[in-house]
Amino acid sequence: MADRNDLALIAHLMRRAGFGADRDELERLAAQGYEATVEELLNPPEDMPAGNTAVLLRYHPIALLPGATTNPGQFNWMYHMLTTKRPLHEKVALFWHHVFATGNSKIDNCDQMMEQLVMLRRFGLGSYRDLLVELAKNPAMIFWLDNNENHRDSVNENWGRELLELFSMGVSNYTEVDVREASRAFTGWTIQPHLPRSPFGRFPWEFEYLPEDHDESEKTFLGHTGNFDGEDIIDIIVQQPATSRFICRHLYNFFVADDVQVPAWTIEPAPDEDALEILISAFEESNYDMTSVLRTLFNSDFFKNARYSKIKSPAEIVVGTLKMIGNLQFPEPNLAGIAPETGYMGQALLDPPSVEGWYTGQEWINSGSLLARINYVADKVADTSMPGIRNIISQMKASGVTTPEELIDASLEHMGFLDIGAETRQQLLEHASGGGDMDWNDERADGDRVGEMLALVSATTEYQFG
Amino acid sequence: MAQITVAGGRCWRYQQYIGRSNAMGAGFSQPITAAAGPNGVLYVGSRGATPWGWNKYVRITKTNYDHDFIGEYGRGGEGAGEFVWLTSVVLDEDENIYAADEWLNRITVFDKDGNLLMTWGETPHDVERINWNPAEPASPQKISLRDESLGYGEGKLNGPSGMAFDLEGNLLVVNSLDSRIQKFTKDGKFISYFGVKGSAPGELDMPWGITVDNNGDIYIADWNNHRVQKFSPEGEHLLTFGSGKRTGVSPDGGTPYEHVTAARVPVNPNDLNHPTGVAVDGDGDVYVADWINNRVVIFDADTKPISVIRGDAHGLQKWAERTVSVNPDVASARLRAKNPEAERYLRMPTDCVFDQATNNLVIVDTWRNRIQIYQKDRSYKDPQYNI
Repeated sequence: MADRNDLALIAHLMRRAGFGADRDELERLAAQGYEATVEELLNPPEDMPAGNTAVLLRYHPIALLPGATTNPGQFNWMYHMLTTKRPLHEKVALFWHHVFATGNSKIDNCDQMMEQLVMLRRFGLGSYRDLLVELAKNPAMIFWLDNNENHRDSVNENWGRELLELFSMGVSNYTEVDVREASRAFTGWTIQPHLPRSPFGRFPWEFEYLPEDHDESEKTFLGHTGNFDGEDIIDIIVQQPATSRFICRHLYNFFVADDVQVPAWTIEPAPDEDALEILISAFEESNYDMTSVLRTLFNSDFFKNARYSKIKSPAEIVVGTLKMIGNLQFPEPNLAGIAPETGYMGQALLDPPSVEGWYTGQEWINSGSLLARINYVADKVADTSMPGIRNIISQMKASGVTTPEELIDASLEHMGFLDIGAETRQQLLEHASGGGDMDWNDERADGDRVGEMLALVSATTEYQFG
Repeated sequence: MAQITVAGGRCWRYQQYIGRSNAMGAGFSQPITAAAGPNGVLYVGSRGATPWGWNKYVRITKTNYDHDFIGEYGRGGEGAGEFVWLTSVVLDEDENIYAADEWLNRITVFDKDGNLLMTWGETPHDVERINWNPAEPASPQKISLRDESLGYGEGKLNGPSGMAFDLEGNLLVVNSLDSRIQKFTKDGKFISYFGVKGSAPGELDMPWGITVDNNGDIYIADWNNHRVQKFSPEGEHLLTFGSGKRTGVSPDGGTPYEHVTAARVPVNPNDLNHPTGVAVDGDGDVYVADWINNRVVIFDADTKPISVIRGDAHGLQKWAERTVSVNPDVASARLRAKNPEAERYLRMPTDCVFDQATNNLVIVDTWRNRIQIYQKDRSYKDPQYNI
């Protein structure tokens, strides 16, 4: 059995770089070591599949092409989060979905949202420059930010503006003229006219470049002048120091510790300027390679020391809980029921509130969402029929958990090696003491006590942090 | 009109398609199974969707080659005559309809007018998927088939997918989740079984479709082993169709989304990717619904791939025309589309059926909500090339 501190550190890594891991998985990863685990996350071997797509589609064919409805796309993605053996790839796709927020509320074609998700998985850990090019050609993004209405003689600045403001540099690092010039460079980047949704269902949208609609005249952008195309604009953007800082601050906010909301970044300092500089250096020295900068991030002391400094996102709450209880590995009919759960907590996947994405950190918590979070987890972990909970009960019994204190400590370990304050511990102890020691003569009753304690832990303030 | 030719004096001519996306009535909702009855009657089972509780769109549609909407049977739910996960529909000699539900582990029988005759085969939910692990590679089944308490015993249904009647009129049912083929009388009395989970010749991994040829031999779409296997009526392994090598669309198992059609993806006809359905005609030619590769591969009786059907649907036939004619925006969009050829192609076909009475091959074009129909011509002659 691995050292408790090692297990706790691996648990932290798996919460941030994935959606958590059960005790058996933590033991395996701790045995191979922290840095080896980081490498496995960044470059998983071929035999670690990215979720079982074929199985999902066999039982839920609607999950491939959901059409106008978002729900099947949401449970499709959550099933992949739940079953993937490449959790970082899924987490990075979620990261980019935060940054490049695109919503089915406008697109009305979840098929294209799923296609964008495939693109984010494929390019999300590679070159940021290549990712931006793919994003600019992504039909869902083109429609979301109206680049299909960006014509040589009638410029639409929506995509050009958000590319600079939200996807790369951040506000106050460019001028209105730069927005205009960038937009002109993307004229003619559009969606090919395609077959309509009726009578046979949707046909995929595809990128199309129309040279006759592209503005071929000279542009001046961020001090550079030339007959720029969209890729030229992206090449200039990625070389801006503001871009490195903006993307790395996003990475810190998503993977390390909660920052203030993005619109405040121009007036509020970063939470850890030294850490940000380390990330920026890794980003730039690797020619904007996401795998390289994440390797630096996960192996850094500032990451290792950042346990419980982020409030879990709803996706992390729901998927992490389902992983913990061992539910829905088989895509049962009620898989569809998990789709709206993150929405109840304020994060409807594939449907962010705007192109700004979600406000994170303490913005995840309000009186409604907090109750939804607690009730969801408490309800699940108290269900002692779930295989993951049965496994926890068996492990507690095998390890000789007896006293109320031991019950609390074991529950905290299984809930993610959670550290709690003295007041919280005292409250849990008062409750646990009421049942006396666990003698395991009545395994059902003792199991119920375990489920109850796990549910109580899920209701603590500390559990909301990951 | 397109046609497909192969060497050996036979060809398959595209005839027509039937279908459109529709939640009820004349149309389908992700059809995954079909059966051909007498007098040109067709039964098509729609899987529907389960995003909001009970499946609202699951049903069996009765139609014919003339596009008549004759009726629809079954609906979403757990009660008698209802379905959660409809997987297959077959007909007995009296045209009674046998329908499998792989969630309820139940066979439902209707007469040809949709009157419920019987159901059989329930298995309690809490035991049915104990040994199921999506990440586990194919391996010999660990659970004793004699252990009734685990739900894998003789006669227990565990994810019934494909079905076929044998020459004696007994029903073969594919138990997809424990990789067995069980034989029942028509009223559900267990007779025998064969099959074991694994990847060696004769072993199966999450099998799906099944059919029986005129000699009584059995063909099974060995879904997770990417091949079709032929067995004797007693379950002895005879032949394997397909290389077992998964290539083509999404060979890494990822979401098969970004490829519009397999036509853009070079793939050897012998490489199947999760085959779902299988049919055989009176000559012994074998048709395999190569699901993720978006095609039907035709093999000769000796396992040699001889041709590939990618789909030829075009124009607006009866049901589809109704949809378009009442929506001028849709009609306009069809004229504007730069990729009209995409409409021709199969999109992850799930089943194929050979109707020996008409020589028609019926392909269930699942994600296009239609069936495509080809007629086999045994007397095909090469054309005069200098015309």
